[in-house]
Amino acid sequence: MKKAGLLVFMLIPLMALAQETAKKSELSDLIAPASAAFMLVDIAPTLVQSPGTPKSFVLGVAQSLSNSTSAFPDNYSVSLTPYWWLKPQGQSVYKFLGLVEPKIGRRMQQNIFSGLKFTTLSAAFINKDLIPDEAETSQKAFSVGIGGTIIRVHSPAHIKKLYDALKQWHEDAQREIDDNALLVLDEIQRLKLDSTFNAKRRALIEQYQETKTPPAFSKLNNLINVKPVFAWDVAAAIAIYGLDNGSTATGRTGVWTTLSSYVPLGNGEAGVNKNYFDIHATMRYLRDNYQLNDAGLLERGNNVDFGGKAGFVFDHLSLGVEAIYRHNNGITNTGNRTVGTIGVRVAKNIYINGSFGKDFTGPKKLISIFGINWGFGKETVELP
Amino acid sequence: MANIYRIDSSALFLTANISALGPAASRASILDLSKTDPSVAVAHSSNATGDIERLVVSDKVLLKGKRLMVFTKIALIGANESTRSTEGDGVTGQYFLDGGPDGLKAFPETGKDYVDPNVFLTFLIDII
Repeated sequence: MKKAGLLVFMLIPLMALAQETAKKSELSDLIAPASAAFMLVDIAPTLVQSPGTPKSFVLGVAQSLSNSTSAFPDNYSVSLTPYWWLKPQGQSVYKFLGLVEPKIGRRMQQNIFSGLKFTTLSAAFINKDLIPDEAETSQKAFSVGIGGTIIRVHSPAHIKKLYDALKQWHEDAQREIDDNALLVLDEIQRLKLDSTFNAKRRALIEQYQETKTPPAFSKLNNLINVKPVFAWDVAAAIAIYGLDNGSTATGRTGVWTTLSSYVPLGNGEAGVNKNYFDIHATMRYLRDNYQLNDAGLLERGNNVDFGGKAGFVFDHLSLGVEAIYRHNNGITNTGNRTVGTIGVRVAKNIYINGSFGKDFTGPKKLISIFGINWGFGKETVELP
Repeated sequence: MANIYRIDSSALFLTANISALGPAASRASILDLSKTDPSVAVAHSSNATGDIERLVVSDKVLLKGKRLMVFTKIALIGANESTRSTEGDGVTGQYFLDGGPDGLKAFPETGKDYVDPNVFLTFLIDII
């Protein structure tokens, strides 16, 4: 514990450096985001509402309006997945996992477009100075975006494991329900269907004993977390600015697309892989109608950034290299950013990250960053 | 609140459609409320959809005056309790009985209980 405290103390200046540098263009900015509306206007909202129903969405907007001095919501941001609102009938775990439901005569197979149904919409109402002119006035800006996975492909071996895990869970659940019939279910079946039914049923349900399913359920959850061998993610967003003269104009437009491949490197605990060789290729198109050029004048900027990264991701260690190339208004930037990265999980929820390499052309083109972060969660080390 | 379904000399057909984002398993059973005998299982789901395909439950002699229950356990697979709670809201059961003089009738679940990470659906109906 003492050593850990000393380590944290020594690394505080480095952490500050790491956070400052993180504001510059990095590959993570090019990866297709789920909440594109926030990425487009450079905000990291501290409070994002994720309404589960249309009613809670309307309530959130109304609450934000009541806090505002105008008819414009006061720094309100929302991210939602319409699929959860629709609550479509006929859903099953097979459809959720992108598997074809098992029927006699059907082969085990996946639906590679199953990720589309979880497409996310995001919107942000912000007051921020987004036009880099001399006036330091905030604009009322509305940004809306969409992001989702177009294609997701798992290996045939993984698909078979998922089917097998579901079959095992179902068999265990049947035995478990039979065991609970004598304990609680028969009592539920005998209850009077009157006004006391719900309370009595609830009390009996809480006595239900999960004796058989936890191991199969745990294995299933581990399999669900296995990364696909191929994924294609896309996002797009547009931001509308409210100008001083009361008119509105399109401020920024962005499109992101990312191709990812996760090559498994052997099996981990319980046959579930946690080690990968990752490859990502990504592109971002950003049109900014209020971009400052080298002469300090506002102009329309068309920016296309290409990036890629590759590396090994193990349970406690990641090693990789990433590169970014830029094109601005059709002109290719002769510089590029090429960085080697390392991430180490030194203890539960404590990570050390490092980046070493060269940035785009400029007086400080060398990058040498070393940082530490900690938090709560059970994530494996990802490529920084 | 009470569900009833009338039968005659024809066979009773049961179908259960479970809609859920998690593996599900269902068991249909009959119970004689006038006796202390345990329930008798008459049907099970065939895979992790939890659905029971249309099948003959039993004959008139065995069913008349008894109570049919379809009990379903669904394990929610959301990464956290908030997500699982949202998934739980979307869980539904729809049950169809056919073969009686009133023909095909559809019923919703009688009760739904979310006990993280599971949802339990109960459908009860008296066969007369």
